[in-house]
Amino acid sequence: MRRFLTKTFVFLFILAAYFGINMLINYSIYQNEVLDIKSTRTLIIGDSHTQRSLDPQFLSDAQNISQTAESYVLTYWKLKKVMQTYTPDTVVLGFAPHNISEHNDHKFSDKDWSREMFKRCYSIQEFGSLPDEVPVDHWGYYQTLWRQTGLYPKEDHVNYIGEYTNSEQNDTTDAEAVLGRHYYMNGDTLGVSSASIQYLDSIVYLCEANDIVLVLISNPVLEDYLAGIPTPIAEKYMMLSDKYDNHHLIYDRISAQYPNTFFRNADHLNKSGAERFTKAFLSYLKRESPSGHR
Amino acid sequence: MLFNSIDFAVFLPVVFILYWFGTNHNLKLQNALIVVASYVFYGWWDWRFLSLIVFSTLVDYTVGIKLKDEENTKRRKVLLWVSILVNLGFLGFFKYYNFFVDNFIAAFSFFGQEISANTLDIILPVGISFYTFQTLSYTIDVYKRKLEPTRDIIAFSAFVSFFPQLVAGPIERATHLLPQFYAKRTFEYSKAVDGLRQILWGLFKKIVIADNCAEYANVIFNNSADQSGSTLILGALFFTFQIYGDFSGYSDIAIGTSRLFGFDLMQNFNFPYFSRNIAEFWRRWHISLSTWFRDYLYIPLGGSRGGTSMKVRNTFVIFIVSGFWHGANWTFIVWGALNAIYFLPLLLAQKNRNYLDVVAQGRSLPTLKELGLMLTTFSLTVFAWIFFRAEDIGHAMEYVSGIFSASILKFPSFPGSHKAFLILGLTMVFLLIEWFGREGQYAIQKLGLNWKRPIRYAFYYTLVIAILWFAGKEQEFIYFQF
Repeated sequence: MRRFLTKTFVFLFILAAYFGINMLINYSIYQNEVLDIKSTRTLIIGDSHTQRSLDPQFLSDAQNISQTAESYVLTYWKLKKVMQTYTPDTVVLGFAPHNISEHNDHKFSDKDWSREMFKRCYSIQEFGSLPDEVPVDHWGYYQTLWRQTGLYPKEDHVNYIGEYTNSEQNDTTDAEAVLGRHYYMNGDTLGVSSASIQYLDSIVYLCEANDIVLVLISNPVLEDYLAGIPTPIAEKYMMLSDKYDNHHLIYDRISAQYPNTFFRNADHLNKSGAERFTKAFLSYLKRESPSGHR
Repeated sequence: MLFNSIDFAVFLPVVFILYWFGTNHNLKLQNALIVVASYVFYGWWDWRFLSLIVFSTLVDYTVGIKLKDEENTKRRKVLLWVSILVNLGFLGFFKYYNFFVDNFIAAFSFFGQEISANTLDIILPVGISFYTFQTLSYTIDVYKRKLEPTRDIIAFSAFVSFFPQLVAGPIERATHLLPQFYAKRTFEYSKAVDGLRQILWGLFKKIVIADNCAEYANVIFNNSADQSGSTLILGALFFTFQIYGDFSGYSDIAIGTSRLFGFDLMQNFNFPYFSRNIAEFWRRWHISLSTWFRDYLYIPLGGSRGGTSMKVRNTFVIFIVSGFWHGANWTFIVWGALNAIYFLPLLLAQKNRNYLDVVAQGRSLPTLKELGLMLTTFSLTVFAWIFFRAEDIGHAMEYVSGIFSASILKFPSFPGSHKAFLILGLTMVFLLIEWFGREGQYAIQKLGLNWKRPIRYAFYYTLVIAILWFAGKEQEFIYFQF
């Protein structure tokens, strides 16, 4: 028995020690990791809406680090990390009704999304400060952390920097499916996410504290999609737009009429749509931005 | 409690330590601990259904003792029927009530008679088909005087509820397992190490192979109307490996866990996908159930003795009942009937006892003939699994007709197909390991024992890392629903 227990213990201990050492080394690496990012004047940040609608090549000195399905919680952590490296003059942040829907609260617990979110954020996460309404699948998180850091020492732990990406795809028949993903869960209509608003406020304060011009932006969406947004969320969105309009720039083109061929799907622009939208946004920036994008 | 859960990872070492260190090797205490641990294990899922196990245990314990004292044949028969009716009554109610009600309604409306009967929202108690058959084997063996009834209620309760095999088998015979509860158990190093190795392989089969294959089998079966013929074939293949990895993985974990406690359970799977004909497949697939039906149904019906019509009847009875045992759905019945059709020609040509050995024994590769026979048997099995997995007969027929369409020549494509091919590749590696380990009780029992220690341990560590990599979803075992 003693031999069995000793051997089993040693087998497991070697395994645990190997994983533990790798995790410690990787922890040290990502804690001290300096973000390798261009110091552009304009930083575009948000989810797939900004990722697909703003092509930085049409803007002067800009970069787009948006990633699909990114909630304001993750955007806030990301922005803080970026600002340890440099402070942009202008931050362009995606701001649309779906960004304040409760579906964002499930990004760290939903089985379809949480693993991807953990993979992106493990090196910058602050789960301890999350409000109660944002549940975290801790087992899933530790498993992802182990996958990312337990097996071997990795040089690069930056999984949260995205880039502009698009194509000429044009299939706009998915309005119902997109609405279902953004505003409904198990047949119930989702409400407004107070956590998302709280983190949006944090982003706003972070920009204000660092004298950054903040532009809240929303791209055109199809009418079918727009008409299906639940009223409470649409109303809250309008209220927030009014609130932030006093001190920040709001480029709200959500109800702008774009030809159907400019849409990738019901709520995203395709490459041609993004070109038109980015150029229009540039004109707006030149007109409105105090830092002058001329 | 699932074997592939954190709960079980804590439960098992605690029970192991208590069993070997907290009972002073006292047999009664060890058996009592097994009963308590088994009830906790089962109650973790739903404690209310423990009452069914306790009731079954008490009925069969009492019937066993009464059978011992009773000499009158008629009264002995009555006692036997009490046990059968109680056990099959529970099984029938919980598992088949709604099926029969639905089919009666459908049959009457077919003849123009509308009858009103309500189905019930019944929860199927996990493992009821397994422990019911296990307790029935006890009563039948006592009735046939093959087994002395026990007067040790604790040992009997432990036999009925033994947690490693309580919810998904192997379905043990009382003649094999019950005596092990009377014998003093001492810790054997080699047995325990072998048990751990079998648990490791079982977890690998379940978490790495079955759960990954399940993801793609589900995508393809749930959207079968939109898939090409080649994709549907791929879906059937994924399900084929899913069900094998799932169920044989569970059996491996069950057998390995039992060995940690000094028990030997019967082998439940013996590399069935390397069978050279369907008869061999059925000697290698879910052995504990096949032999149960053979001993308690097929042989009492006359077996393969008698004329052709009797052989045909008995073959269909055993396969259809076996199919129906899996679930209250016509798909399982058709699956059983299909296997009977596969099996019957072999029986009539008296070739069902061919291939009793291990394929290509002592050789690394099979002959071309063996390969051809294995591929043919495998294809027949894959085809039958379509009916097993389908939602209903209509779905199965639609699936089959989808396969035999012009799109069979298209390259398979479905959401996530890129990763699916990686999983298929991993499954092929798994099959290779199974092939090279096919002479053991399980693939890695002997495989690697002659390797240098660092290589052997590197292999074990690779398996552990693969398990941890894919763990986390805690998918239920398919056979829990049976």
